[in-house]
Amino acid sequence: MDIENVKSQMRKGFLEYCTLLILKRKPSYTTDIIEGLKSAHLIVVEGTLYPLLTRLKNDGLLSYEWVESTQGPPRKYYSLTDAGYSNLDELGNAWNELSLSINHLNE
Amino acid sequence: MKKTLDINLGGSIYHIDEDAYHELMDYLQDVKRHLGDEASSEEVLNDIEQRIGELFMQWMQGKREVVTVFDVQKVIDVLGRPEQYDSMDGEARNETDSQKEENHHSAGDAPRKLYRDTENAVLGGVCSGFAIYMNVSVVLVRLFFVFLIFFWLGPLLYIICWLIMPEARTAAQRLEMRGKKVNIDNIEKKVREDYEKGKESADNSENTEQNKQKSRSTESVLIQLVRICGKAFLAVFAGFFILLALMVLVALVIALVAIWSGAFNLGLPLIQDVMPLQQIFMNPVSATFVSIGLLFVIGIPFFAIFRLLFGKLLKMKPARSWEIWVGLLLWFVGIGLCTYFSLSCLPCNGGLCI
Repeated sequence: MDIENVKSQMRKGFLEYCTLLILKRKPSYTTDIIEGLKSAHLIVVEGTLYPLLTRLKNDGLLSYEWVESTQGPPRKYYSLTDAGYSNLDELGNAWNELSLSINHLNE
Repeated sequence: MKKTLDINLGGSIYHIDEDAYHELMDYLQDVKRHLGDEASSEEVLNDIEQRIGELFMQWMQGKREVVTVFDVQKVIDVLGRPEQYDSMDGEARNETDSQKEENHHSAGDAPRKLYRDTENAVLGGVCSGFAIYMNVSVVLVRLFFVFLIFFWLGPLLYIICWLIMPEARTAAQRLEMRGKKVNIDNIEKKVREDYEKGKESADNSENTEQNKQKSRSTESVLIQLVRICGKAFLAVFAGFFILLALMVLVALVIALVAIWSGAFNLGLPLIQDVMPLQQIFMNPVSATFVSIGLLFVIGIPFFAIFRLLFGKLLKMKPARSWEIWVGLLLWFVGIGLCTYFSLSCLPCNGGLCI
């Protein structure tokens, strides 16, 4: 088994979940999301987020708003849609289940 | 002073240095390729470009007007290379692209394969290929082979190598030759490198060597083979010629020593078999001048031909006109000296009497 591949797969789903959690708090721009991830000790490069956010938006979990900025081009502020919220709840359950299984196996 | 271009990132104009432009272009191509063909990738690319523009604006902040290559590198740091997406805690290896690293063995590289390097070849690329494989200068390898010419090994060894070693024709092979991994990224870089090289030489139109190579590749294999054979013969011939020239010079020196010893009674071996010459060489005056004359008459042509044949291979500068004139003059002087001083020793036979 290729451990790097497995870790990579795990990370992908994990990252999406974390992003949704951060967006639950308030509408955010990419830099805000990076900050949020950093506070949870998750270091990613900004480039990771752009494909991810667009994917989630295309799946209907996120929506965005253009906000003008004095400092340059307008920014996309993302927020959760209703579908996003319910998805988040489901993910929360899935996470708890996984957590229980792993903890159980670790005993 | 640098050239500036105007680019459009997400709808805003930015002034950017020419070298920064190329670096940014490369980066965005990388990203584009990584995103693939999905419908959403254009939107993602646009987001990224906008973010890049925003960063540029932040950093320039009215203090300056042009984006430099440092800005681009900073942007790449912040946004990360496409290979670094999907990894956390800064795990991904930072694959920096640099053609300078071509000659270094970096950890991510594959071991080198021995190919003939026809890009930088003089004859068949054997020496060039060896040089790349062993990571030494081409000049050393070529000198080594030339040296071998004197021992009959040179041409034979070269031809054997030429037949055995495959030519690095495709981009993939050329990458293997230098020990770089054969993946899409590297191939694309190589192709772009070659394109840029070709463009530069077309723009400058000064490097005729490369232009020759470009037109060469469109000729038929047969003509190429003939040309290469011709060059090979030339090289071999030059080698023999040098050997011959050296032997002649050595013989000349020995002869001169003999002459002088005869004329001045130094007690060293004499030339006594050649009758008419004996008179010439018995007389110290004529001996001196005739030997000088001989040196010119024989030595100068040899030197000239040597220069002609071997100069190109050794990359000597072509003879300037004054050098040619001086050489010719000395040659005639030599002829004159020989004639005069030889004749002056002959008894008067109702003909020439000096």
